[in-house]
Amino acid sequence: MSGSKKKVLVVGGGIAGLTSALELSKTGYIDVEILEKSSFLGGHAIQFACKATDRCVNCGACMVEEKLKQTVENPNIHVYSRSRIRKITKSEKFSIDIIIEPEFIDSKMCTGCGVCLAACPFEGSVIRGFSKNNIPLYTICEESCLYFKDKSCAKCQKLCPQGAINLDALESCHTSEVDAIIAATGFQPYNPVSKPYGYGLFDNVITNLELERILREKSTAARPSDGKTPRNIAFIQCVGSRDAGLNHLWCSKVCCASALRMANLIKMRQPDTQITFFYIDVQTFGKNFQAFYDGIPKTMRPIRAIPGDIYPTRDDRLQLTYFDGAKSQSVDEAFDLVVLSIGLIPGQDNLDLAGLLNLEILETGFLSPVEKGASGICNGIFTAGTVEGPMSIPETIAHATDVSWTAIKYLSEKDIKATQPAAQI
Amino acid sequence: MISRIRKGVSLTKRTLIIGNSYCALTAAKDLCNNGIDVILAVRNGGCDLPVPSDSENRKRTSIEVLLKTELVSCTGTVGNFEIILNRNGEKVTRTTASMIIAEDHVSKSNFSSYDLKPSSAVLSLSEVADHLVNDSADSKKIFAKGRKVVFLSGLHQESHPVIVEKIMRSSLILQSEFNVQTYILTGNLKVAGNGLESLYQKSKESGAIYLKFADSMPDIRQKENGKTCIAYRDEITGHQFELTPAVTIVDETIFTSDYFGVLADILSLDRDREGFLQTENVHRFNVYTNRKGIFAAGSSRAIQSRVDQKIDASCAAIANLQLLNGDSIETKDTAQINTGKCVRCLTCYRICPYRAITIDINPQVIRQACEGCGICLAECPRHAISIKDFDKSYIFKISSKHIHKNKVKKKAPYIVAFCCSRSANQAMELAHSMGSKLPEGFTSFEMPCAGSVSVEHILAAFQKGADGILILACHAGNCHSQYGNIYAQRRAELLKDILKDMGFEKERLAVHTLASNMGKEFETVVTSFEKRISALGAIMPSARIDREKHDITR
Repeated sequence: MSGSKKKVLVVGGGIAGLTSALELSKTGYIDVEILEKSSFLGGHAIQFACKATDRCVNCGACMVEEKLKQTVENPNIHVYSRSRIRKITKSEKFSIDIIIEPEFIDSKMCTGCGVCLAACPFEGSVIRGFSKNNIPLYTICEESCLYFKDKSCAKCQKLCPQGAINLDALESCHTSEVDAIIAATGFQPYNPVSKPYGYGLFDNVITNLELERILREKSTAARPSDGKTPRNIAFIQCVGSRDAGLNHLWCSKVCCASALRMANLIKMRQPDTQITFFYIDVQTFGKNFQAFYDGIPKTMRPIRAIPGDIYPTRDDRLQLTYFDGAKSQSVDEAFDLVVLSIGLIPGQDNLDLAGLLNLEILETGFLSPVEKGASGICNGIFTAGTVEGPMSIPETIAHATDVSWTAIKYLSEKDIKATQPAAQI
Repeated sequence: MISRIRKGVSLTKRTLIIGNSYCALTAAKDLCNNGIDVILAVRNGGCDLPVPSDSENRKRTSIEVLLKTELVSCTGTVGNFEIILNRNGEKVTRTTASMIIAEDHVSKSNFSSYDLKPSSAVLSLSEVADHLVNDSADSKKIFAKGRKVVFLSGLHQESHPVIVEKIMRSSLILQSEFNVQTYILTGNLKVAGNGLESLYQKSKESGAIYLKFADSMPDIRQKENGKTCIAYRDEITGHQFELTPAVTIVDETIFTSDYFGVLADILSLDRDREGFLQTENVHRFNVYTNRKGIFAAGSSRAIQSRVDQKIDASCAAIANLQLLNGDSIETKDTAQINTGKCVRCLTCYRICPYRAITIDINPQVIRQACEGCGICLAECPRHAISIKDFDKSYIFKISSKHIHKNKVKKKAPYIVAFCCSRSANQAMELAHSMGSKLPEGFTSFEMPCAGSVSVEHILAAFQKGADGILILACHAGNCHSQYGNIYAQRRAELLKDILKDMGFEKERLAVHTLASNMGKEFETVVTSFEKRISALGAIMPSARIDREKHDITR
């Protein structure tokens, strides 16, 4: 398993990308470059809350934190954030043109003190990352920052004690020569605006990902409209998954676990909250699921139905209409907060990525791990994690490890082919 | 002994794989192709291991297959396990650097949970699936055209996608090839597997009827001729219906075999509540166990589909290679036993979660297996164990500096937190970067594990003038050392009583659990603890004066 130094490009810095990068670099002879579109590594999962109640519930969110820490501390992994691929050419190696958006905050100089955020007069212009291992911890949003509108404000740049901010920084380019590419660009959350639940219309209809972030930041659930503690919360499952109308013929696999764990956590921290869980089928997750499932009726009211409609009430609550199977009739009921468990759907870059890497797109819109017309022969391009379909955090870690192993085998095969041409027939 | 182990590490590149599951065979082939000798010990059944071709076997490795072979004993440690096997009555000894356990689980039909007896009209799922796959002549007879066939799925017990996939595939074949009408009576339909929702749609399109039950359950009775009669209430219309199928197919539950228990005993492996050889602990992702060099993969660690098993084989192969090809398998700062102080009480041997203590003449730490958690250090009644930088003097050094700073602002109580390096310490750093303000008199010590916080540490901190002490551990089930947080809790309870006897409030010592991503909660825990201690006042008003004097004299 030894050989000359190799280099692999990992596209995407979520949990799949981080896992792949770490596993590859552990060989000792593979250097890794991670290319991340956003300003922060860690993907969706770095924004998740710990959902432990009296004991750990094995959601794996803390493992993302650990992998991120290991990644930023690893000298053999180089990260390009705010970057995208312009062009890939393949000869002996892959030659990749990378465009790096201007780095307004210097990652080496920033200490994460937060003076820029405090100084910024326009909310949303300086954005903080999610973990202390997001380096730099802050980023500047060009769309809302006044400097990019009319140069009327450069407070952050003036006040930064490290002199780490340069609002005139320019876009840069870089060309990487790599031996293999792992596409780990992940999923995108389904946007539920087209569903009849008033998302985007009513403040107190939120997604499960938003609830994860609220719990991580504030540690308790609150209504976005007035900041009050909700007395009763409805979780609606399968919004955008298992939906023949949308042609989303897949179960997103993670939402039952996420919703039920969050519901239990809220119930523990805010015991007076009533929780109703609307579902089609509760999916098995984790070990010892039977015991977990048996405990559910103690903390919440599970109803096997998906509400059909939502109306705001006069006292700023939300009325849901659903079919009650036990009574065989439809029922109206009001809630303070409605949480939509939105599905995992194919990433918005899948089409571009498939074009760049010559990969097949599955019927579902997720990427096939096999190259177009390659009949299963691997050409140094791999896919890892939820770019292939919905996966939980533990499943993504396992999948990305598996893909790294395939990539390592590919690189050593290539080495042998290169050194012993005579032995190959 | 230690020198012998070290020598062993550089010599053996051999791995024992236990089992003949798909996962076991895949891992065996992968390792063999990558420079590792493999011994494959198979207890039941044969082994269709593809013989590595010459080109595949270019690294001159070997696979030794031992059939009808059971593990009998295992001594030694990672890098040099000495194992005894029983091959069909014959004793076989081998040495191996590491082990991968990839035994298959077993499935058992749920006849009894539906109160049914197997008959020609009541069959088990595996039986039917085998019939259909082998296309046996019997199946044409059993599933004659136009008959009604009922599948019972997860009605009394939660099912699993692995079982549901089998049901849906069988139903699809019966509908499309045998032209029988299938009914699937199900609780929660488990479609959280790859492609299962589209398989469900396909099965419905082929004519299968799915009847789901939540609030009511079907009433299933077996008649004297062995056939069943099923009465149920339709939840949408509220009407009663009755089904009298020609064949009823009963689903299965997946279990761990007795051999899992045998292996766990011999290898000192922690098991989960269902008997699999890996606890529910995120630090064991993907294939790790509580013992270094022993991996649990595939169906040995959880219920897994074939795809999962292939993934696990890779995970085991890569983890195994990282271990055997690594420069050093030793942890940087391991525990050390001072033989002068040790009275051989064997507390360390008993409690080490990694089985890293060996008894030669004296107990010794196996450096390869020790993870440096320090639980032994805190539990040792003779204070004979040390880990670099984590003895009591570490606190003395830092805290005197802190007290000096704190003394200037006399009002703030002096709070000391012992933070687990994996969880609370990370949470603290997260809290800092998210702009949380921690109390003025707060100071923290990073510990390898909450279990390493000894009575000595706590008393030393009180002696240095701490008004309140927090031990911040991982959540139950999340401790890398499995029991570290439990030891911490237990020790604190004990100490609280002692504090009370000494005339101090026991609220001055508290244990809380946190995870690395709980920055906000870290702040909440520390501030509310500080408030409680503030209310109690200084631990001893005179102590503070003593402290000041002490600092002045320095």
